[in-house]
Amino acid sequence: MDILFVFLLFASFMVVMFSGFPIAFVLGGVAVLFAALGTLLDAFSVDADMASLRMIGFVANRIFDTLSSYSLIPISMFVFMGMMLDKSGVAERLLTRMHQVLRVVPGGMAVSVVLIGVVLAASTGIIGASVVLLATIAMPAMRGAGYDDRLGLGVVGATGCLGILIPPSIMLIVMGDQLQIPVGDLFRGAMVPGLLLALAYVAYAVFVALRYPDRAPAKPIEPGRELREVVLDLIGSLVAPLLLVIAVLGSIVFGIATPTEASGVGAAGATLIALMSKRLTWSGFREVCESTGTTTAFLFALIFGASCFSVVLRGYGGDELIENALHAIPLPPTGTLILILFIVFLLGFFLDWMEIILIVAPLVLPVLTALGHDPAWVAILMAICLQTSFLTPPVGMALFYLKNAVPDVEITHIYRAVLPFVAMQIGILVLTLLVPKLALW
Amino acid sequence: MQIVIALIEGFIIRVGKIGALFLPLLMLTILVNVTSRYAFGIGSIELEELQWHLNAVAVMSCLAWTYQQDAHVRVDAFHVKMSATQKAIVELCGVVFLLLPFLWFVTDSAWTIFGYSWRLKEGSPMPSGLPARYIIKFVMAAGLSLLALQAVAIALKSILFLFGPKTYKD
Amino acid sequence: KGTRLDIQSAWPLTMPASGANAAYLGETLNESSGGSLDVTVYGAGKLVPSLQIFDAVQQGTLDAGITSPLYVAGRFPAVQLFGGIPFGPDAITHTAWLYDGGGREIWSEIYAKQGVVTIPCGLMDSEAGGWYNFEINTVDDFKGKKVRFAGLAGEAMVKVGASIVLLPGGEIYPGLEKGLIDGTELSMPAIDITLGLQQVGKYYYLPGWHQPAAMNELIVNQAKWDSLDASQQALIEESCKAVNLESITSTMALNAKAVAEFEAAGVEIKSFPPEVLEHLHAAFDEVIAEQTSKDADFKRVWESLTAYRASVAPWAERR
Ligand code: NA
Ligand code: NA
Repeated sequence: MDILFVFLLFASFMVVMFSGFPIAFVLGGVAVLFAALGTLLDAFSVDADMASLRMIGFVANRIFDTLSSYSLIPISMFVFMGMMLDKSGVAERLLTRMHQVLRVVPGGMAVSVVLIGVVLAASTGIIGASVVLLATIAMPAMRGAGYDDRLGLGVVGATGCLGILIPPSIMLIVMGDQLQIPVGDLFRGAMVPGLLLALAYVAYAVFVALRYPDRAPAKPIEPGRELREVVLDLIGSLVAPLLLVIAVLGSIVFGIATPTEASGVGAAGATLIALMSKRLTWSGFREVCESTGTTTAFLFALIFGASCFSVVLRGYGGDELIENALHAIPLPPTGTLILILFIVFLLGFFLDWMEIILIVAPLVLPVLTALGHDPAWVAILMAICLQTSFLTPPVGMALFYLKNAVPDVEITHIYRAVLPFVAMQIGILVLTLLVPKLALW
Repeated sequence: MQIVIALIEGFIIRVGKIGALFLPLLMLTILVNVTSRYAFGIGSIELEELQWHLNAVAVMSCLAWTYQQDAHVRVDAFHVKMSATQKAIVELCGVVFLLLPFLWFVTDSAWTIFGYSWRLKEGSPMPSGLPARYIIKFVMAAGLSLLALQAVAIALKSILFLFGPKTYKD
Repeated sequence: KGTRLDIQSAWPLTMPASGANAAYLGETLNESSGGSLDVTVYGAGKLVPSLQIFDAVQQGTLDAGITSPLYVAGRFPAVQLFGGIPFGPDAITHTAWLYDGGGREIWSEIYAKQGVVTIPCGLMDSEAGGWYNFEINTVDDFKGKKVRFAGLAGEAMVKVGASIVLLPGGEIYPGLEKGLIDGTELSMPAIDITLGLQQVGKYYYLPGWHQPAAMNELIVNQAKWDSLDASQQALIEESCKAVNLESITSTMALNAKAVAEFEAAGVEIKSFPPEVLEHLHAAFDEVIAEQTSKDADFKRVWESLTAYRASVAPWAERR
């Protein structure tokens, strides 16, 4: 009985979502309708766990908790930093110059995007900022260079997600808090899998360029320029972004700022860079504030909607369903771990990482540690799984950011573009599963 | 009716634009907090709490404006292929059957939460934290109400488009 | 089917004492009510965020919650004294004050005005004095130090020259590691160990002056409470007493094991010198003077506590 309602809840959400009404409102609205259904059925004494309209009363409490969360401040600050860097033209210059150096490499522009993405990932803790920034600077450039959108969107989306795995990372901070694992261990453990992913993306871009030259055409060498000159140019344009990374990472490493505050330091640094590049006007500044405001608002709206949805899901016994499934199937320790990762992966199709961490992690971690698995390793595996969930349709934050930043592509095109990258992420996940040393060193 | 819509939307734009300016204030607050702690060894509970207060104001005041600008994310696989009339139907149905029911319950309890906090003159649970926590609870309730207002405006626009005088469509 | 009672816990159900208490209460009520109660206990954040439990119970969206009165200090400053008092009495005397010395009556009175019933539920043993990366030999050692300290004790720390940094749970470890903070108060060793601070903290001070004992609470919506019959009410009341016993006995060995593990990890276990405690006590007296002049209820609770402590001193101080 319970399983029927949980299934119906997810199914209705999926169907209604394809109407094209904003997802945040679909999440909230469908949940409220199901809560009303629960209240109605309860009057007929249907014997099952039911959500009720009374539970919707929790949603405003949860919204207030989200608003008062200190840990969510980096969302707005890192987006601000991204928008500001975009305004300053620094990132754009970096991309074009890096591409000039890498023009000898097949798919050089895509490779440049990945490299810049790694640098950004090391300075931001959320995916939104990197995806928006990468998309705004790299998509026009890649299109100009004749790159196929499918490769471009995939590289930008996947690379933008590295920020959540490569420290500092808000997701790892929230995970450490929820699972009570030292964040330092998680940061260290996520480093290698994160870099391996970047490596895989580079390899993929090179492979596509070699196999399908029309999707990533080689750029002709600019006449009359020495390689030395180009490299010096690149170094020159690396100074500002590197200083920014040092400011953000350095303030964390040297105990000057918390990872949360580092986002504010980054935003201020980007503003300074923009001021020095003399491209920042008062109206440009207002624009940065306003687009950061709307981007942050749509993100929080999704959290609000997902929060409402997960309360109703709990009302219909969704939690117990997962828990019982875990206990009902007798599996060896590794089997249970894989099953749980699979569930996390599946939930990632529908729910946001924060909801998954809140729903699943506290449920399954005790089960897994009891089976003898290292909690930090399990957490890293889950983190890789969750970072995949940013990219899996239909609900993937990175996909939404991408859509938001490149409005002229359909979301289904984005869905198709990220598939090979999701496959690579699953590959790295399996690798970390087979070689725990990658996360535990 | 169109005047009403214009008034509502004009107000929401103004709130959004002012709210967005709280973001650089947040950035400055973080800088001041970090500097005073690192350079002078002064930690401040007030400044730490002020950070999420400012963030909350920015988010809630941009929420409705974001819908007006159509910046909330959609799965537009079918949406992009729809005619203007079909889109108006989706928007009208979505507002009436999804968004307004959601906001009806949530906004109601948000105002209840604000009212209770106001009656108690609630402050931070930390003795030297910021007073007047009800201000932020007011911001939450007001932001949700503004979103409801914007939803009504969009529903009205859809109705005008679908059933109104032909001149409106142009 | 029995009367439904949904209880939201403020802590993960796996957390020693505070969280485990909620799970224990749920099981006890379900088993011993013979089906007359149908209790569901939700882990932290499942329905309502921990800091909003009181509001949800007050408004009746939630039947009941297991939480700490410290969490509503911004709404009712007086009740934080029930939840744990710097330089307060030990667990036995604290409980005796609540049950036998009039503490509970005032607590219930304050909440009754809000339409909330409160039952002491979750007696906690002394907290540890916290993790520090500097040695505390004189009170001046606190000067200019950044510490993470909550509530009234935090105010006292400010008065001796420290400054307070509030960090969310996940940022404590990197904060202490990188020197963003020089020290932090947390909880009892059995709970502290889950944060792994033994890897980054140099000194662990025992015992904690800031909270020699604490009492958590079961809060129930008044209308919900009134809808229960006398036997159900009595069962809940008595089960909470069982929770108090279970809570304090279940952590004795766990705390010992945790401290031993800290030592094995190379942490130096120290205790605050008497001179330091004297200064902190004086600072705390100033804090209390400020609070009692600000809030009438606070004054009332404080006077009830001091009167009770004085009345039992001939025995309690000599035990
Ligand atoms: Na990162
Ligand atoms: Na997903």
